[in-house]
Amino acid sequence: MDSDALIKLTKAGLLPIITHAWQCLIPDEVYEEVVVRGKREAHPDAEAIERFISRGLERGHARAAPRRLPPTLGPGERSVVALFVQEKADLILTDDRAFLAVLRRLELPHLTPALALVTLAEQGAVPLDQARDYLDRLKPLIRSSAYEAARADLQKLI
Amino acid sequence: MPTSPVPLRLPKNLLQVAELRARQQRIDRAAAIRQLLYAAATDYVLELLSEGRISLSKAAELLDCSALEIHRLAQERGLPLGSDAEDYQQAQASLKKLKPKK
Repeated sequence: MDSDALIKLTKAGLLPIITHAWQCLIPDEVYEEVVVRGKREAHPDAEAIERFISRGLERGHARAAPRRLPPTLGPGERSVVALFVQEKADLILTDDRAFLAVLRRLELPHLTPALALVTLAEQGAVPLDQARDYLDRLKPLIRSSAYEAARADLQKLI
Repeated sequence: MPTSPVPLRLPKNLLQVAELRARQQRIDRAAAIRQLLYAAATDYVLELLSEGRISLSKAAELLDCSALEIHRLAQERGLPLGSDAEDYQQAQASLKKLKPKK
């Protein structure tokens, strides 16, 4: 997952659930731009994320990123793509619009935090009432249209 | 962050703004110009991020801060970040390709 998904999942309290249900990997560059720099700037979420490393959230070292990635991406997203290819991962988890556009162009499988929550509810990893609470916690962090789409999908599961 | 000298001609009114800031903040004029430039650069980078023209990591790299700080700055300005309903549906389509067929 990239920095954007990591931050949103942490703020919504979803990181323990996601890392319990799925094996989640972040590259060193994401760790650096969220945890290392975040701690230097005294962001409390940086400490919270650090506690998850080795408790479900794994760090990986990405070798060189593919050359065809555009300059609109930073070192975090570039290393996510590199690690995805290197580790033969299933999906990339992100909510970053610029990154999502690149993933679609490259036809790389991906999902957003809201869709990840709906998928976990579908799989029975999160009870439906709890999934609705988590979605409400995600609400201030995502666009309203994405929230409405996820809410409608959760409603279909009843 | 390393710095480089840039030869630049500024209009008088902007120099007056910089001097005002320099006096108020008790800093030299060059530092005031850098602060004003940084404030404008922050707004511009956050706008690009909100429009989906650059990524979060790129924004953090350009402003030389953490991704958490970028989130805080965007929230402070009420700028929405992240995917919309169309991105959500496209991600659903991407996910369906992965799911084993029954």
